[in-house]
Amino acid sequence: MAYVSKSENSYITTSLLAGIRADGRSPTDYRNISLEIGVVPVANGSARARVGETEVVAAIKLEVEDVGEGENEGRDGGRVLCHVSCTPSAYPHHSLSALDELSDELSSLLQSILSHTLTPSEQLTLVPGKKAWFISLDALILSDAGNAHDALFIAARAALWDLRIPYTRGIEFDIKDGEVVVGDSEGIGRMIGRKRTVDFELPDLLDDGVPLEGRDSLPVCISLNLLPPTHFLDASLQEEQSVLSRLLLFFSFPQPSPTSTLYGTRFIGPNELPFNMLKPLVKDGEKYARELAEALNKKLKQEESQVSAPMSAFG
Amino acid sequence: MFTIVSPAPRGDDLEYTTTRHHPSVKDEIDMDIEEQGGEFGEGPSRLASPGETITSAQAFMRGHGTYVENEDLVSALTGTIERVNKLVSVRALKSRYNPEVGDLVVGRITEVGPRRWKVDANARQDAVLMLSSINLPGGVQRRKLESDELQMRNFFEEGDLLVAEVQAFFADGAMSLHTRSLKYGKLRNGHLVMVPPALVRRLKSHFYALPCGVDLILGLNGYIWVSKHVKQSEQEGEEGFDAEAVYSNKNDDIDVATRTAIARVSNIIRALARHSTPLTDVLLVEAYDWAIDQDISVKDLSAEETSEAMVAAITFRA
Repeated sequence: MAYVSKSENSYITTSLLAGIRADGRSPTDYRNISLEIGVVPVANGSARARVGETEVVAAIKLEVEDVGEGENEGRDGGRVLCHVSCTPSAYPHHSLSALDELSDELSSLLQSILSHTLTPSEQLTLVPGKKAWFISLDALILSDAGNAHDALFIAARAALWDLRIPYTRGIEFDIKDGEVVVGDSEGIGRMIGRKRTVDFELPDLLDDGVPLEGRDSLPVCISLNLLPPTHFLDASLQEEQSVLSRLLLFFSFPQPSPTSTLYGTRFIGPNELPFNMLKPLVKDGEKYARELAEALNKKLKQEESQVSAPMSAFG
Repeated sequence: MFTIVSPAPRGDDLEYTTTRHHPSVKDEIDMDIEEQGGEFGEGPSRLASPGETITSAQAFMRGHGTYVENEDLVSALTGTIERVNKLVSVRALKSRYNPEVGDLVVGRITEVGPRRWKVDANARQDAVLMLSSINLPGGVQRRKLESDELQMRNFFEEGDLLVAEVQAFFADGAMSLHTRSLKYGKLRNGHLVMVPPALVRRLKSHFYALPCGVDLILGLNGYIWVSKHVKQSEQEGEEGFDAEAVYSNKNDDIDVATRTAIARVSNIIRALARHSTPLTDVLLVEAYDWAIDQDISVKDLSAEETSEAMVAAITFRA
């Protein structure tokens, strides 16, 4: 279904080529991002992100799973399942089947990027070979005013930042001369010598748990909207409908080293992307993604200090 | 490049002291409150949410936005409660466009059907534009032919924007539009800004040419077309009606200064809409001059502080 007329399309593209956007931004300007963590009280981690008028809420629930071989069984090192729901209010012109299709597409994208960055992780193993954490991340696109991909990843990243994994203590059975001795081992389950951790318990602590390891190097998504010979960031809905080609880049920046990891790329649109254009685009994308990741980390740290201050007073 | 902020705290202020009424209605409401006081209280109007019991149905009559349940008058909407004598109604805080005959609207074609187009005009139902209610090529007013039916997409196709007038209503409440005037028709050379329909008031004319070389069409449905200024003589053509030009999809050449002016005007409209300021041409010209005076870039106009300052400055002046 067409949302822009031919004349609008040509007005928008010619303006973009002249470097003028409908709302006065420069091609690499992002709209204001607003970010809030801990918005869902019953979730283990949650966040709400807005990029302009695009709004996404993400929430995480943690579960303990038995480790096994099956499709829906846990894995050593944890398992991640992402699900994105696109609300009909965000896409009033989509049919229900088109909404499902879009939700599935975004779910698999989020899943493929996050499951590789989050798992396997020592932190998500409870009892090796027996129990592991299962991270279930649900995101809800409340409104889409363009650039839903970036907003989705910002929300997911902030929810993972907000995630607290409860403290657990492994219970060990020490086998000495056929005699079974029950003991404790601090921290997350492990196997040392003849000691075998067979179960875990939750220490009765008021503290809510430990944050995810490496949460400041979680991936960000940056969408480059391609209008050869230029590209621009953070397209509004009208721009998105006029310029159909987009290159999504998923970058992660391990701290504190200055390197970066490209976790994935996705090309969306009907046109082809010449191979020789890809390299400079990835380079530019890395620059933007680094700035975005740094800005997000700074904001999240600041947000957390604000949230945790009254909490510790209470505890 | 990236600005990350915390969301603005939500206002717990539920008093809508700024609800304005037409003077004649206002007198009646004031009188009522003075006479009866009591139940609906004085001062600011009360807010109702869907399902909330407003009052007893025996003493009052149900108006728009309310229904009767178990002898109680219940609100069907979120909005302010209004009462004129015994009639209680709820006016929605946010609603779609409520069409009236003679209104000027800007709409977008969503579907091409048999002898008609479906038009999205921000109302509850899609509007209908009949093939018989557009200007057909050939200059003179004439009846539609079979050949016209076969080339409907040459006039309007899906996605096209048009300006039209509400002509009548169908039995199901959908509006019927017409473009049988030289001022109406397909839109080119600009872009669309959407605001809540309540902010566009009925004015003497909805076509404006701002002094900065920008034309405005304020659709009563909240769709506003901001485009390059076209001289009156060029617009009408030499023979009065030139189908080729009227249904063209090609933009004229637009220079950078005009594009910037269009972007500036659009951002001003968005900023005013965010502060729920009803739009008029005088206000827009004032705001444009203010932005030029203060030397504010187009982008900064969308910043919260700037738009606040602008709204304060121009509503003070007006």
